[in-house]
Amino acid sequence: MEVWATMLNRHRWMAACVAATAASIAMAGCSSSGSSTSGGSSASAPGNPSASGTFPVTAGVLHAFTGQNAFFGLNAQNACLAAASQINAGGGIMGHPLTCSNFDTKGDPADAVPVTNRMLVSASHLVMVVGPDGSDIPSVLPVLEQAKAPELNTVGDPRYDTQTSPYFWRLTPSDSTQAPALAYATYHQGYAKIAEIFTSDLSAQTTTTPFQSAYSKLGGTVVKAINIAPGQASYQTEVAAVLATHPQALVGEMDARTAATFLSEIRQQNGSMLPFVVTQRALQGDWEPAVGPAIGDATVGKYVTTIAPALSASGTAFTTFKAAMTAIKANPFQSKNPFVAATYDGVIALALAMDKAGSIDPATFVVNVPKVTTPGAGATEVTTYADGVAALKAGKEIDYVGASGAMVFNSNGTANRPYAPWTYNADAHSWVMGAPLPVNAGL
Amino acid sequence: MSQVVLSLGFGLVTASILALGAVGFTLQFGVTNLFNLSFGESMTVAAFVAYLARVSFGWNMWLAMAAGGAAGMLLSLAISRLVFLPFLRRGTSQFAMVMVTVAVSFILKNVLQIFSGANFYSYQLPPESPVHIIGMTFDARQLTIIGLAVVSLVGLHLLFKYTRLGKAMRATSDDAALARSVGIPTSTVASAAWLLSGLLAGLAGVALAMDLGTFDTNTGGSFLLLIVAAAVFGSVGEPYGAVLGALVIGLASELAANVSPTLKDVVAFAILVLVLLVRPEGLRAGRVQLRAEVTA
Repeated sequence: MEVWATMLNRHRWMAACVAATAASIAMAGCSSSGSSTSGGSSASAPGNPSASGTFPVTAGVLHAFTGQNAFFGLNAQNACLAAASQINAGGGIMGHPLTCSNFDTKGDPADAVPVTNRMLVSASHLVMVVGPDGSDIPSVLPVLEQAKAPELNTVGDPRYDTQTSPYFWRLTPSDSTQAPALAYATYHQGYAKIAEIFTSDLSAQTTTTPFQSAYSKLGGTVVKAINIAPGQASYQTEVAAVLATHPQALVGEMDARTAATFLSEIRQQNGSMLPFVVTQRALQGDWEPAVGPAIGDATVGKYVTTIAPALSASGTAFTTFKAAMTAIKANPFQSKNPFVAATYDGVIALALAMDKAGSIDPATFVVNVPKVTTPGAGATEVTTYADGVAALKAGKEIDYVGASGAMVFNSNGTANRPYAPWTYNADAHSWVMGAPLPVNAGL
Repeated sequence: MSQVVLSLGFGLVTASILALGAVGFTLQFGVTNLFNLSFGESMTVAAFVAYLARVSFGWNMWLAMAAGGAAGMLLSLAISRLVFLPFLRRGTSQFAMVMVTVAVSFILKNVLQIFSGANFYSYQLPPESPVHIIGMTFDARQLTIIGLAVVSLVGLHLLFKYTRLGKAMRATSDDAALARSVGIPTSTVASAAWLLSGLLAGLAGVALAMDLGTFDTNTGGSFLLLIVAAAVFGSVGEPYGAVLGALVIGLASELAANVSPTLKDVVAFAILVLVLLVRPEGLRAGRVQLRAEVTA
């Protein structure tokens, strides 16, 4: 009996230790915990249409602000702040100043739901939600839909290609349109034989099948297709398997840390880098700072092409956006990021929709979002919030064309836009856009 | 076949880093009986110190590695003296101590993040030419990592086998009260164990950062589960078992990648579970080298 008791104690101790280790690492994965900031103190339903007088209204920035995906939150936060500065400089939304309040999902779907609930009950006069990102949206969207909170996102997941909620507004294209662009750019760069490498997470997986379909239609051959688990200490065996098939180039999507390890091992085993055509993931703020030190900034510039939404980077709307970003002391690179520009435009478009409806009640104003962003006979093109408000007051129909260019939503709430190849300029430390690619890869 | 041989070589590199970490982890547990989950963060701190030495001060990689190892030692000793020991003196339970180590890991990581930001860092080592050895491919950096592990582990073996300190460590690990009664200064021995464990954590952290190409504040912590798995595989507190665990997990995960890359961790942990089912206290339970042969 004593032996059993001793063994039991030992087993319990070891099991407790291993469980604690796993728990600790799981927590660490979503840690670097910071506190979310909330601007509101009075609970309200979205918009709170019964309120009267001039009071601040809130855009809830629902994103990861800590952990690996913290760059999503910083991008969305600054896009919201820049848009709010323009809106408030233009007199606010029917006199209501717009404030941006951050709610940190930590990039973890399990954390995201309670944070969303907290936002819904605590944000004062919540009129829109900026976010969440691709990993959080499956868990958070039902909560936002139930609360009838309009939300602006930049997720690529094709599952939302057919969604019908009037509160869902996707500001950048679906991955289902990214994949043909990726295939087109790869094939027309002269790579007819490629190896496809995607990480096994959901956001990367949504591109593989449509990519293979488009690439084979164009005449290309995928000599090797592998899914790798993100965040491993080594990919040497996977790299050797890829190199054994002698591809002309690599195509795929990897998060920053995975790409740094994988590509440095490609270079090590191959003796030099292979060209890498990568999805828009590479344009996110954490990617180049991780991969650059691993393989060299110049190597990134020479061998990596990222296929991301096009950004005109010129005209009144872009100049206004850039000035607003500078005024809030945003990172200069964020002004060149098409996702930041699209989010900025989304906030302004929703504000204009409220102005057009004469209401901050989402149930009333969401139908006006396409009405202020779609070109049409008699619609006046406006490029700033102030111009939009002035045109609306003059009784005109408007078409807001913002910093990210035309933003025409389809019936499923997605603004499809053209893609373009972006390459990294190592001297200027920034991505440079090439000529926009044909819609749907010309297929 | 050639692909399998290649994988064995790659597995050796991973196993070498794992072995450094797992032996450090298990050595400290064997002597102090503390399941220290801040071990991964000690690795990260050491990687950052080596970065400062290498990139900011321009030292060569060997000196930078030594700086990382020294940082690991100092950090390990400081945490044990300033944090863990006061709790242990108050009779804090073992499980509560594990939570204290979790707290320390969070504090270390977040303090590090204050200074480093959410950025990635690299030692900016130049590309190396591949070296082919019996069908396996390495570069000089990987051979350095394997060599470092071999030298460190042989050194530890000699320490345990032939020195008074090593024998005192084994005696303290076996029965601290009995060791004290025969005049072994167990407090000093525990400090030496913390220093040695910290040294191995530091070397493992620098080796991991070298192998990955870039690292950030999450790097050591994300590797901890594999280190603990290797230690548990070979019986916690048993350094030779930890080496065996590191080899099995390192090689199995790379070989599994030939079937499917997503199976890497699955296979490694399936083997761990199977071993624990058959031998619940690990593969080398009952053969604990740290706990024997005490001589005057």
